[in-house]
Amino acid sequence: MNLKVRIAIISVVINVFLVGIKFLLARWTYSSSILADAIHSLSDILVSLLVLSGLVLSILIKKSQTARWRKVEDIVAIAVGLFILLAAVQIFAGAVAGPPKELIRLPIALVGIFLCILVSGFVARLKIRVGEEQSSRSLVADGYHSRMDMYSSIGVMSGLVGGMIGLNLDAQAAGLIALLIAATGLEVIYGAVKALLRGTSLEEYWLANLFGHPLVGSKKTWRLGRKSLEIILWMRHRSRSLVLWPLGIIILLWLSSGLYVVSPGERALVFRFGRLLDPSGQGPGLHVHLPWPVDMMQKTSMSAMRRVEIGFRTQPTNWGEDVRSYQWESRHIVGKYTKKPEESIMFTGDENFIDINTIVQYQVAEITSFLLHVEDPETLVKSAAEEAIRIVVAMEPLDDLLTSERSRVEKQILEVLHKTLANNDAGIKVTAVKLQDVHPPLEVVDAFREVASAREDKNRLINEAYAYRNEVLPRARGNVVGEIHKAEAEKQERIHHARGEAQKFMALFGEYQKAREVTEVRMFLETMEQSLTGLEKFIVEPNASKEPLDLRFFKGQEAEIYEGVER
Amino acid sequence: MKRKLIVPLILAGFLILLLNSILFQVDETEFVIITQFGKPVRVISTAGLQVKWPDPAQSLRRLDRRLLLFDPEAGEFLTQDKKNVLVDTYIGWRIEEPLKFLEAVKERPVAEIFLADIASATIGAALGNYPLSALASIDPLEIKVDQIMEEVSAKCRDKAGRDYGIEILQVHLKRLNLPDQNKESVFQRMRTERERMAKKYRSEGEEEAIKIRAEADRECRAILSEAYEQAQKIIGEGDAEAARVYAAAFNRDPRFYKLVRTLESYTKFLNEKTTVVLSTDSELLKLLTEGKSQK
Repeated sequence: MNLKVRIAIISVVINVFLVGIKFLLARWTYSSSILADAIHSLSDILVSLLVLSGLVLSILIKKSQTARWRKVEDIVAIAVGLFILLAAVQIFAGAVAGPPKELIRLPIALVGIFLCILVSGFVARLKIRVGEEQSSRSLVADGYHSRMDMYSSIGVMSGLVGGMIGLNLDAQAAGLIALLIAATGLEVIYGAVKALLRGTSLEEYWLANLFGHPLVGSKKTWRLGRKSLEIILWMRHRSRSLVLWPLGIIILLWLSSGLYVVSPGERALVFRFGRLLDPSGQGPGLHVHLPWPVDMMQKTSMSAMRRVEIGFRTQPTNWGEDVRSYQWESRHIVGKYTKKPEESIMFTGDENFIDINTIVQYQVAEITSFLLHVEDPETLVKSAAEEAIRIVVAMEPLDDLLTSERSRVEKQILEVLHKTLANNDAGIKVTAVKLQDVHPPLEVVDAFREVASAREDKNRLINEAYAYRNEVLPRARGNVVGEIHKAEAEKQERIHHARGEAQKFMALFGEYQKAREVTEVRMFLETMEQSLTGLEKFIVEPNASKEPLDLRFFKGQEAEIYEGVER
Repeated sequence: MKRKLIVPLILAGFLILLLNSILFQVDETEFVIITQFGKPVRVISTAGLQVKWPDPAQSLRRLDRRLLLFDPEAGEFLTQDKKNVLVDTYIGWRIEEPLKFLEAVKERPVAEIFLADIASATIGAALGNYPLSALASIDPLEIKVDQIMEEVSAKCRDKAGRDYGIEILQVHLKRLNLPDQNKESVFQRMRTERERMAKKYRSEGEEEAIKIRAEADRECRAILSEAYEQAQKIIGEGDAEAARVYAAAFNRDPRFYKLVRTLESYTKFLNEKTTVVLSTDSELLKLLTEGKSQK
C-alpha cells in the first residue's frame, strides 16, 4: 500500500516535471508537436487534479451538502473539459492552417524528448509492475496511461527526426496529438454531463471509465476504481491541512498571469523568453499569452498625447497658489510654473538673447522602435527639441521672434525635430510644437518696456498734433464763412446806402431844378440854422482890426481854454 | 514519509538553481556576453532563451544595445573670431562591438567619460575653424551648424568606433550660450539698442507732431487769407456798385451835389464844441451889416 501510494505521487510529480520540460522544449524549437504533447500531458494532470479534488471534497464535506457540491464540481469539470477541447482545437488549427514553422535547436529538442520518453517509459513500467505485484488495477491502468504518453512522445520524436532529415512532420504529429487531447476533453465533458443528468457521483464514472483506460479491460473497472479511491482516501488522510487547495489556486493564478487586457489606444508587445514575438504588437482587447516566466508583455499607449516642456516645468502641487497673471518679468517663483532659464534663454540670429518657453506634443507612432530602440525616448524628444528650437532661433532676428514670425518658426522647429527623431528611429511622431511664451530675458525687459512706452509716446505726440489741427482748422473754416458773410453784408450795405443817397439826391435834385435860386438859399440857410444854433459864435468885423484874431481874447480866461483843448 | 519527502524537495531546489544557472533569457534590448572564467568567449545578440555552462564555469554580462543618450557638461570654447561660447551637446550612441566595448571600457560610466573627452576635444577643434556667425546668424548662408556637427560627429565616430566599439550616431548641439560675463555685455548692448529705438520713436513722434502742426497752421492761414481775399473782393464790388450809383446820380448836376454835400458836411462837423468865428462879410451875415442899405 505504501509503495503504491508513493509511486502514484512520484508519478504525478514526474508528470508535472515532464510537462515543464516539454513546454521549455516547445519554446526553444517552435515545434507545435512538442507543444501539443506538453498540453496533452497537462490535460491529464488537470483531470487527475480534478478527480482528486472532487474526492477530497466528497470526503471532507458533510453528507447533507454533498449533492450541491457535486453539481458545482460537475459544472467545473465541464468547464475544464471545454478548456481542454479548446486547447486541442487551437493546436489542431495551428497545425493544419498555420504556415509550416522553421524548427530550430532540433538536437536539444531530440535529447529532451528522448529523456521524456525514457522517464515516462520507466514510470509506466514501474507502475505496471508494482500494480501487478500489489494487485492494484488502478496503478496498472495508470501505468498504461503513462505508456500512452510515451507513445505520443515517440510520435513527436519521430516527427523531429523527420525534421532533421528534411521532412517536416511536425504539424502532422501535432494534429494527431491534438486529436488525443480532444478525446480526453470530450471524455471529461461526457462524464460530467452524464453524472449531472443521473445525479450520481462524477468520481464513480471517472473511476469506472477514465482510470480504466480502453487499454485495460473494462470488466474490472469498478474494482480499479475502488483501489484508486483508496489512494485518494490516503491522500485525504495525509493532507488534512488542505495543502492541495491552495496549491490549486496558486496554479490557477499562475495560469491566469497569461491573461492581459489592452485598452483602447494601446498596443502590447509579447516577448517569449525575451524575444519579441510579433513586431506589430497586439491591438485593444483581451489576449492570452503563456504564463510567466515564459511570456511577458509590455504595453504602451499609442493615442495618448505626451508632452515635453522646455524652459519651464508645470508644478501640479502649486496649483492652488497661482499668481494673477504672468508677465514678462515674472520670475515664476510661486505659481504653477517654474522657470528653467538654462533651457529657455537662447541666442538669436542677430546675437541677442531671447527667452522662449515651448511645449512639444508627441505620440508613439511605432511601438517597437519606441520601446526597444531608444533607452529613454522622452529625454531624446526633449534634447532633440531643444536642439531644433535653438537651430531655428539662431537663424531669426529677435524682433521677428517676438512678433510676427512665430507660426513659421514653430513649423520650422517641427520639421527639424521630425528629421532628428526619424534619424534616430525613435518611433515617435511629433504632433505640435508650441511657442508658449516668447519674451526678452528678464535682464532687459525694462528696456523693452521702455520701447513700448516710447512707441506710445510717439503716438501720443502725433495724436496731440492732430488734435491741434482738428481744433484750428474748423475754426478757421468757420471764420472764413463769417468773413465772407460780413463782406457780403458790407457790400450790400454800401450799395444800399449809395442807392438810398442817390435816390435822396435825385428827389432833391428834381425839386431843385424847378426853383434853383430859392432852393439853394433855403438849403443854405436851413443848414446854417441847424448847425450853427447853440454854438458859441463870434462875429468879427473884418475892417475892425488888421491884427490876427486872438481867441483867448474871446474866451477871457486862459485856464478855460486849456481845459477846452484838453477836453 | 515526511522526512523522505524532504530529499526530493531539496533535489528539486538544486535542479531549479542549476536550471537558473544554465538557462538564461536574452532581451531584445541587450547583448549578452558569455565569459568563461572571466574571459569573453561568446556574444549573443539574438533574443530568446539560451544555454550556457553553469555558473562558476561560464557567467554572463549584459550590455544595452539600444540607442543611449549621453549629455556631457557644457564646455566653453573659442570661435575663430575669438568669441567665447558655451556649448552644450548631447550624444546619441550605442554599443556596436560588445567584445571590444567590454575590453576597452567595461562599463557605461567609463564609456561616458571617454565620450565626453572625445566630444569636447573635437568640438573645440571644430569651433576654432568657424566664426560665431556660423552658429547664429540671420543669413542662412552663413549658418553652418549642420556642417560643424557632422564634422564633429564623423571624427568622434571614427575614434569611438576604432577604440571603444562604440557607434556614435550623432553629436548634437543642444544649447549654445555665452559665458555669464559676455552675456552681461550682450544684455547691456540690447538695452542700449532698445534705448536707441525708444529715442527714435519719441523723436519721430515729435517730428511728426511738428509737421502736423505746421501743416495745420499753414492750411489755416491759407484759408483765412483766401477768405480775406474774397471778403475784400466782395466789399470792392460793393464799393464799385456804390460808386456807380453815386456817380450816376450825382453827375446830373455836380454843382448841386457839391452844395448838398457841403451842407451835409456842415451839419456833421459843426457840433456844440465848435466855436465859429463869422465874418460880417460872409454871405450869412452880410445882411447884418448891410441889411438896411440893401433892403
